[in-house]
Amino acid sequence: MRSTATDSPRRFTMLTLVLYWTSILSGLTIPWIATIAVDVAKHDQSLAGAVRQLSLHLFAPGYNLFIIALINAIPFLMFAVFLLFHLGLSPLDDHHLRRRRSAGVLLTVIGLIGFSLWTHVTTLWQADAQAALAYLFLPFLLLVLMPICYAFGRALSALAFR
Amino acid sequence: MTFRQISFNLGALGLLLALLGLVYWQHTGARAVPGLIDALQTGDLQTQMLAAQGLRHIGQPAQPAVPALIELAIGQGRSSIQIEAAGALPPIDLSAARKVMVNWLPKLQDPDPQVRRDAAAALGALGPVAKPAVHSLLGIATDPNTIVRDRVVRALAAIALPPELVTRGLTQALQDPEWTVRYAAISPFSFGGVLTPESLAAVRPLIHDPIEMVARLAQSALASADHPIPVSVHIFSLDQGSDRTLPLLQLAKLGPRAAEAVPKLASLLSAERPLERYLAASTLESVGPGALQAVPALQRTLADPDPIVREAAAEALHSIEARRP
Repeated sequence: MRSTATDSPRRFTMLTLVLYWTSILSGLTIPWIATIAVDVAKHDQSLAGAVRQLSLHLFAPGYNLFIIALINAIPFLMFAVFLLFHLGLSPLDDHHLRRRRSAGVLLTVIGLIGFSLWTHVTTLWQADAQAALAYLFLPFLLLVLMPICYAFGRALSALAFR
Repeated sequence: MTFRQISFNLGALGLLLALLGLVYWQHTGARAVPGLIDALQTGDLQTQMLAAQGLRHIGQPAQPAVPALIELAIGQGRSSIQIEAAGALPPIDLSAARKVMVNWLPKLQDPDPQVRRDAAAALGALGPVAKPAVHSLLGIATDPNTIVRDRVVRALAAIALPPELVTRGLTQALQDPEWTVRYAAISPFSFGGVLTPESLAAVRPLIHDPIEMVARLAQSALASADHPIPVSVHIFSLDQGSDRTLPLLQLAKLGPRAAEAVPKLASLLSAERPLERYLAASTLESVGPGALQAVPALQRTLADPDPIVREAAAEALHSIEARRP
């Protein structure tokens, strides 16, 4: 049988921490990354120009990109805390359980990042007066997405490591 | 993982959140003012415009930014930053906004139409605080330059006070040969505006205006006239929103019909923000004798720390007394 990151306790701890901090930092930075990406791709700005635009609008009334990042990060932070306990307290002697949990958590992190990034990019790409509502609804949609992605990841893992 | 490792990572997350909170705290409210003043002095138009918007949002605590804002509002820079800086002043300092008004007023008579246009736009940006400029704006309402007339109409709509004079100016502009001016004149009537019998007569033919946008707004204005927003809704808005400017102006436009709101308006004479106190007094002025019960509150407002609020209170008292039967 192949050795995976979940087999060695040290590597498993590393995987847990990587997923934990990836979830936190991606939750905070996805709106900013999307803003820069749309400025560069759609508005033909240089990367430096897009970064400057981002910094100008972080606290500007009507833009509040800092607050948008914090709102976006809420479900990511919640999931990060969950995964820290869920993977961190997994029984060391049960490889199958650790694999299934890791797969569930990994797929959830990927799902959250993908859905959040897609929402932010499409909202900025087709911006209109109501587009900002997406930022308010997104955290709730991500909360709904979490158990679905997790269940899907565990099911995949169960099939793969049967 | 050990509990120690978990606790360490949770603690690091807590630290990160505290750091983010600190960054947010530093960049909002009065703490942001020094940075925004620096931004006003960068010379970069976008940075200056965003800084002016930020200062306007902060309001009174942005008092240290007033000299820099006045400089931009009356300076030789681009019209857009003059407008943005002028628009930032009323929520911060009413007297400073009046200084800007006094500076721009003579320029309405300038031989250069671009200067007249910029003057009208800057006065409009000051909003209701530029009430004393309405007579001068009406004086150039038939300016030969289309853009000047357009800016004058937009300025009148933004100033909104005194309602009778402004409505007269807007009604006159409804018959302008240039459609952009008619469009600017009909817009305030279609979005919660109050139609007098004269303005109603001027709006009716516009539903057949060759420009569809104008015709649609005329239909909307007539529909608004058929179903006016009740005074109670405006009173409710005063209690709900953080920005009371719009409901106060709506009540002012109603004139004597806003008498139901007098107790609420009297209580707003002691509001924290000078702009709200000024608007409450100006609205009582437009209500006239129906605002009799607000007289004691208005008399107390004659000792308001802000001279512009004191002036508005005196005008309101005069209006209540002078128009009494």
